[in-house]
Amino acid sequence: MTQRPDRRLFLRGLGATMALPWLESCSVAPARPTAERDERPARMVVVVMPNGALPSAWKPASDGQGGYVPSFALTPLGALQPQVSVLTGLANRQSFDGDGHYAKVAPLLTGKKVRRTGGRDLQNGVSMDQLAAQARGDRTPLPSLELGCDPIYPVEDMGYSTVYGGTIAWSAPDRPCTKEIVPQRAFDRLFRAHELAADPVRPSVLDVVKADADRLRRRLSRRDQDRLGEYQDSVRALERRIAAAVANRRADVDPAQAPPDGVPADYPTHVALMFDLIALAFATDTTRIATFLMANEVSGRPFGFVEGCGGGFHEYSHHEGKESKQEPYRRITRWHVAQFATLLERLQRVDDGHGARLLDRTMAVFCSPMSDGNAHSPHDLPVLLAGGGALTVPQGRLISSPKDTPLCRLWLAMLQRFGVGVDRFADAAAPLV
Amino acid sequence: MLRACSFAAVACAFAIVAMGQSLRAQGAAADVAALVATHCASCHEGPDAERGFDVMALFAPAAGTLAMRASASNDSNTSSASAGGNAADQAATSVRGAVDGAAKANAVPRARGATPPHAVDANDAAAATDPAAAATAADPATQRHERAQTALQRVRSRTMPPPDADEQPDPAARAALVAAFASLAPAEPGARVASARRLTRLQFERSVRDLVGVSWSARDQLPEDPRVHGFDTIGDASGVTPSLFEVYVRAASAIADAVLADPQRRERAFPAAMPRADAIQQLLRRAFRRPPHDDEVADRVALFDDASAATGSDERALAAVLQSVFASPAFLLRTEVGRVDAPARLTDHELAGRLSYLLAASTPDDALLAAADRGELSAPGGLAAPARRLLAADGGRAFADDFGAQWLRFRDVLVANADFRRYPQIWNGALRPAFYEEAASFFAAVARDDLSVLTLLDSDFTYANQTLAKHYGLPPVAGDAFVRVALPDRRRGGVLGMGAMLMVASYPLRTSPVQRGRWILDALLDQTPPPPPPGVGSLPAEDTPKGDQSLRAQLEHHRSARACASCHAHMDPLGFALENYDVLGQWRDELHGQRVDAAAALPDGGRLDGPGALKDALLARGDEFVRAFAARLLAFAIGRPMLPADEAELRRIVAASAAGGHRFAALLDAVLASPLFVLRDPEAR
Repeated sequence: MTQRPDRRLFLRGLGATMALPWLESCSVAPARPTAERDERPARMVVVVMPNGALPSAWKPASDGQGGYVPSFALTPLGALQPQVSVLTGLANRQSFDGDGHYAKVAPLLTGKKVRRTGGRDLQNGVSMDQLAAQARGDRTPLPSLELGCDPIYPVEDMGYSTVYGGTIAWSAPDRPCTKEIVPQRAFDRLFRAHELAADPVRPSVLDVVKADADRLRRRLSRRDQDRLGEYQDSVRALERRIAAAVANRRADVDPAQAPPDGVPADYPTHVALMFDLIALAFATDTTRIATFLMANEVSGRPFGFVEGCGGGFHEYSHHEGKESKQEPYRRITRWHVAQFATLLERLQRVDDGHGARLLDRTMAVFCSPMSDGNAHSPHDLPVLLAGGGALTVPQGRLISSPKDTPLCRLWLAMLQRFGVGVDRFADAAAPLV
Repeated sequence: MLRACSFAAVACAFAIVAMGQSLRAQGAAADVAALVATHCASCHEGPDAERGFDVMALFAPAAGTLAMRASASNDSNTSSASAGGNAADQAATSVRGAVDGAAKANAVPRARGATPPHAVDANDAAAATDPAAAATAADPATQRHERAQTALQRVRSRTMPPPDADEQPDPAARAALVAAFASLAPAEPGARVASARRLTRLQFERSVRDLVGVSWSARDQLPEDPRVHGFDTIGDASGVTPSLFEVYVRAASAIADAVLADPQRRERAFPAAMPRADAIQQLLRRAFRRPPHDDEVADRVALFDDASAATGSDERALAAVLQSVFASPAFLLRTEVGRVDAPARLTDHELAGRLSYLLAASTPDDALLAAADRGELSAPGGLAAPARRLLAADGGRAFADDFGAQWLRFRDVLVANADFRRYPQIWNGALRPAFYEEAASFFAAVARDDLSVLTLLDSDFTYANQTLAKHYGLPPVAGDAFVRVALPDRRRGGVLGMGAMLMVASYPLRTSPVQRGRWILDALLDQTPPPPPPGVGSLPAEDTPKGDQSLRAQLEHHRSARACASCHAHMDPLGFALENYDVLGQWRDELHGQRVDAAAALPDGGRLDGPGALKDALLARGDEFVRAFAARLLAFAIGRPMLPADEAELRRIVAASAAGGHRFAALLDAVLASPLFVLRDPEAR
């Protein structure tokens, strides 16, 4: 990797303006749909915060007119509040038992129960984002984008593979999607795929390894054939990506604008870069589907950059009713909401190519796989639904549902608005909104 | 303790009688029934069984079949059925037959990755095409197998019967119980066949280096390999995803360019004097670890011709060939298909791969491939000499860096952390690498010098450099290089006194007797305690006394709950015996002004005080340690965890190792000669 001359400038810019690290400096043309048949496509993004939120700090009061009075944690929404609904009463029934964290985050977007295993035979469902990508991802250069900040050290904890704790996107019940945690590599995947096509011999090389796989597969046991099937699917995915990249190369994103290599040492910068990438990916219509796991479940990350929160997130979430832990817990929650709000702001500022705001065509969800972290409570999950005004998404409402209403009804509602022809999803038989 | 619930009692009595009758036909097998009745039934019987775990129900369904089988095998078996282990095996075999049938009836092939139809609920559709998903919920046969396996683990790890139970089984009775439960948890068909697995990052790097002399740092590009059952070499856990494949394709490009940019590497990959097809054949044979198939060669000859014609450059064409080698599933995945005439047996080349990735963490070298070509490796004992050669080649270092570092977890010390305010020594960047180096050098020496494997538990030497000798308070050593040093006392010696292991099983602010005890049980005895039940609290992050309660007192308090005690009574004393070592493994006599208390009572009434006593206690359980070594070595080498069905073979390996004085070579030879290592499917023997 060669050092680009603008790298240092880039870094300095980051230090100076934390809130707008990058997107501002990139020249983003109005969003432009890739395929003619989708004149005004929808986007969806799900942002997940680990370790839950203190209900007393999260749940807003009703304003008596269908809206809400922001709670402590929701104050960062500020002027965006009219575009953000708060959903209460939702739960993922399949996560009621199992351990406190792993068995709750992995099924968040699948609505399925995960198998308790150290990793040899992972078993979950297909997540809603991947279902959308399988149905409609072929319309963009990248079917979907999976982002995170923490690497997975895939070991066994409490009888569960830590892969469960670090993966919300599942392309098949036994296939967790590897999330990208290095901003630059995510950028490469989004905007430099055409370079994969730059080598004229590559298609022939891929043909040869595909033939290898076909021959090998014939001689293998059923279980190993599945493994080869994953390999073959991966080759095909790359071929599709190369073809799409060639056809849809975006001249308006300069590869030299890639963020710096490596994982940023400072977490707020890391998170901000990831939100930038999502905004840029949507703005350029490089993908329309994104998930972002802000930290792996059970994250013990210290939050020293938030005043009074020098200890670990997970430790604070087990507040034991003590104010000394609850206060940092609420502040950390509020910090996460503030970061989500920056994404909404960015989407709000970008034109969707038709004179409307990109946010109006984006369904953006912020949620956590549990409510009160002290009890690992799977009930009444913290959920925000933002944007999507042009997609008939209710905005600025307090949408209260009966206790343990399936969260999957929200996913179903989003899938339908996204254009996926499903009438059920996991335990949901009807859309929530 | 017997409950008076009439229904349960009647049902159980029936089950015991049925089992007793059928087993009694086999003489000593009745002992198993009696053992189960004595040690399990008082809590684990009937619908009200402790934690819903009805042990008797595990045996009951087999009773009818048992009676028939037992009478059929009556004549042949009665004479030999006397000693605990044998009798248990036999009783077990007949119990197993019955349950096995149920298992086979339930085994449905599992569909993977089927694209769900979009018009219906995708996840329900996925579940419908995936019987495994449906089966997880309520399949009674599966549940019975899982429970039998749990029972086995609990009994073997001595957490059942609970340590405070009135009566404990003696070692022979415990072995008989283990064998009985092992037989109730038959492997699913094919479960003892390792699945295809991706090269780990280390294996990828080293294979590329050894094949074409290129150093491509996989650690910077590829994600961490999944570690299951303690190892990153376990199949099923490591697949190829689209994003991973992209990295492999980019890697293949970079490697190809690096090969062609260097005349020596280029000559090695494509000798100028060799016809192109032959050069490709030779390259594939080395990279695929077996003779390539004709069409694999032909495809690449055609690739060269096409690429050369398309680009007008032979250089680009050679690069294409190299890319097609390093991105091929035949290179990236380790698959074992077995011999054409006997699929249950591995081919010589597959044996070469197993051996080389076990001992050298890399692809088989030319000498090993040549031995495989000659069919020498599948001859009885044919792996022993090549194994010696591979270990001698680098003094056992690759073996220590890959297997040893994962088994004993010293690899983790490089990313372990300590609180720098409390432990300012951590600022010395050389300390953690020194911990690692000590453990790796020591482990490699045991293998290379063919020492007793019990040396790992206790030794009168270790390896140290200046930094480490000073840190441990040993007589000074000059320089940064690691040298073998004699130890003045028993505070060090063996892995229990090494900074790497002591730090890995500590928290940043305090030591953890629980973690250290767990590490000993898991790594050294292969008796991994089950995870704590959900909802139990956690101990404070620090060890400063809380009020008048020391951390130890708090720990002992939480252990008073019976659910906790069955495991912690085993774990904690082992960890307490290491309390004289702080987070960074330095010796301490005092903690917060109090004398360190390194004494604790073992559940069997014994008492441990300090590391010397702990080492003696573990040496007294030497066979269990050797079994653990063998079990972990095999899991790492063949890519799957050991199953109850493997118990009998593990016992034979331990016996062979004992006959050789537990020297490393004796253990390794027994492992390499074991059907578990040389067969693709030990079930099909």
